[in-house]
Amino acid sequence: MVNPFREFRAYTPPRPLPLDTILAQRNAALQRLRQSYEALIAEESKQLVWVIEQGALSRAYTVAVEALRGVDFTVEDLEDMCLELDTADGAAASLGVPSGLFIAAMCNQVQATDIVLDLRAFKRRWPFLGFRLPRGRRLRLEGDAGDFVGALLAGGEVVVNGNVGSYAGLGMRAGLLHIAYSSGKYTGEGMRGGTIRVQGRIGSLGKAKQGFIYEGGQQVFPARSEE
Amino acid sequence: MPTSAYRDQVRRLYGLLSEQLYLGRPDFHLEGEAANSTLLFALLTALVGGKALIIGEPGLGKTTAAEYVGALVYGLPLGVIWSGEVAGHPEQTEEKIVGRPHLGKLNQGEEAVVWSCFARLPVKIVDEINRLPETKQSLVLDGLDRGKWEYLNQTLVNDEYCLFATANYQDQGTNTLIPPLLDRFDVLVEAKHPGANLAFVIGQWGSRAELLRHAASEAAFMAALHRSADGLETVLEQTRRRFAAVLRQRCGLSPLSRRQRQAIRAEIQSLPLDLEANAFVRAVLAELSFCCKYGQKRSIDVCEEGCHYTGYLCYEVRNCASNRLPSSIYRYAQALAWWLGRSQVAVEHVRAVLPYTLAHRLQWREAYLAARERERRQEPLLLHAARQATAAVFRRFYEQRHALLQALSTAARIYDGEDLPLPQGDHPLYAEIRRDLGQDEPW
Repeated sequence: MVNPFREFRAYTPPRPLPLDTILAQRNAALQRLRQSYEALIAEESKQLVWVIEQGALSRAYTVAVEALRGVDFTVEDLEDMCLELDTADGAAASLGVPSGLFIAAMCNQVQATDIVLDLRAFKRRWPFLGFRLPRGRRLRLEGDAGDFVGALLAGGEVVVNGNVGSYAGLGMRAGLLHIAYSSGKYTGEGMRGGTIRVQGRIGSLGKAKQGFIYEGGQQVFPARSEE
Repeated sequence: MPTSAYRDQVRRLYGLLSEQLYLGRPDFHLEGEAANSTLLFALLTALVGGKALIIGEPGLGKTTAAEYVGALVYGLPLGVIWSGEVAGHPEQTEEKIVGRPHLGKLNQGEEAVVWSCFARLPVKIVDEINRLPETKQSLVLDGLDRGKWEYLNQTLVNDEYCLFATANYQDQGTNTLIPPLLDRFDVLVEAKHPGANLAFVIGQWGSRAELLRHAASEAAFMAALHRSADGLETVLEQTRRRFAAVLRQRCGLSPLSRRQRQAIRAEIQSLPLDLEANAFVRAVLAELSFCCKYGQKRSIDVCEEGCHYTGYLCYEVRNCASNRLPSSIYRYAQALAWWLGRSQVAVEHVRAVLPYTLAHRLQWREAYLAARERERRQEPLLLHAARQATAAVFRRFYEQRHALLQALSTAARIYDGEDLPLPQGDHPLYAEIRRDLGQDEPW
């Protein structure tokens, strides 16, 4: 009988284009990041009420870091994941604090040490960006950021080219938080070290313990005694 | 004559038609070219010897398009084309359509048939075919399909012919066209309203039929035909030559000769489908004939909700694609590629002709048609539904074309005895491949 497929014997698959390979790799990385995020949400959804307190933050952050363990991704994949969190519905939908902690965990786990995120591209204002950023890492945020920027900063450098919300530098231990415009209330609440530089105005200072806070180039904490 | 010269001549004929005889908006766009779909598909039908069903509102040029194209491609003056037209009406009889007994010879005790002009002429036009009752539509089935006409135990076979039928939208005097008759048409195309401005110009011009009339040729043709002294071919060729000379004088163009038509047809048939176009046609046929539950689509079997293949076209249609469909797709895609001056038929050519070959053949699920009915559209519902379906099939094909082509390649090698793993995938074409390789899944 006639071979109904005979014309296709000579078929040779096209050589994959470099762009196709790059896109496939990015898709694969995004898929793995999405799975990690879903693992975090699955774990955190067990909490009936999500309260922002030290224990809950540490737990959620640890889960996020665990979920990201072994995932190989780049800053571009991180941006893609932010876009995914910004637009997705369903299981991958953005959930305020856990989403912000997940992005912070990604920033702390990504191979590159110099990270730039353009927040102007996103509708959401995630909290806790720069959470526990370790020494040797630099996070540059373009546009306005949400609350708790640079919380528990651990020696890294967070530069915000815009305004930030309340509790900037909450409990930070070391490092530099540089805000190009203004910050909200309780700036530097509970900070134990490091420096916060706000180029614009500070809504109100929090109860800082140690470290330095500058407003428009003037040191406001510890308050300088007039000589 | 080189290939491009034939195409240039046909394009000049199209230019004459579209600029001086039949005004209509260009509504068919491909590869940067635009054409009026009614004229273009009528022209391709005449060139490939196909069958076209032209639908539309009364007075929008359905029959006119067929007549003008027939006259220019077959070199027959309009009067001759008119003599071969059959009107669809309830009182139509076999004697008027096919032929009648030769009464003179019958009186002398001999049986002979006087074949109708419709049966004998190479350009056949059935005007308002849906005014033929369902019972009489079967009178023309065989003739339409094969050009074979039978009467009084005698048979007339047309070597070369094309057929146009026109149909109005449903009104009190129309009947439903039976599926076997519809399936015999290669393409369905709508004669659209040309728009207020062109319609005004058409009104200004009046009838342009005189350009394609030549009373002397027509009278000579009819006389020669009735004398029957010469063969039909000779009579047609004499008429064509006389008419061609007149047409050259009037507009500097010659209609095609039989030899030219044959050469064009050979050129069109020689154009191969590239592998992607080939695979796309298979993907379309798989979606229109496959059923995982009943073995194949049948208009008597009802597709159930929740089937794994709900997202494919097989769920949306009720009937199965006939074997005439691939033939129509193949011929018209080749003709379109030839018209565009391509050396191969690409997937875009198949995609462009597909809605016109599917529109009249598919029997849709009511829910699908109801959903399409509410959409904004520029075409009659059946054509619109076929175009949407084509787009959906093409999207599915395009997303997985490399995998499908690889699967077909693997199938070719397995078929020739190589020991390779069976191609696996979700598209119905994979299941069809496995069946052809004798590896059907157990139910």
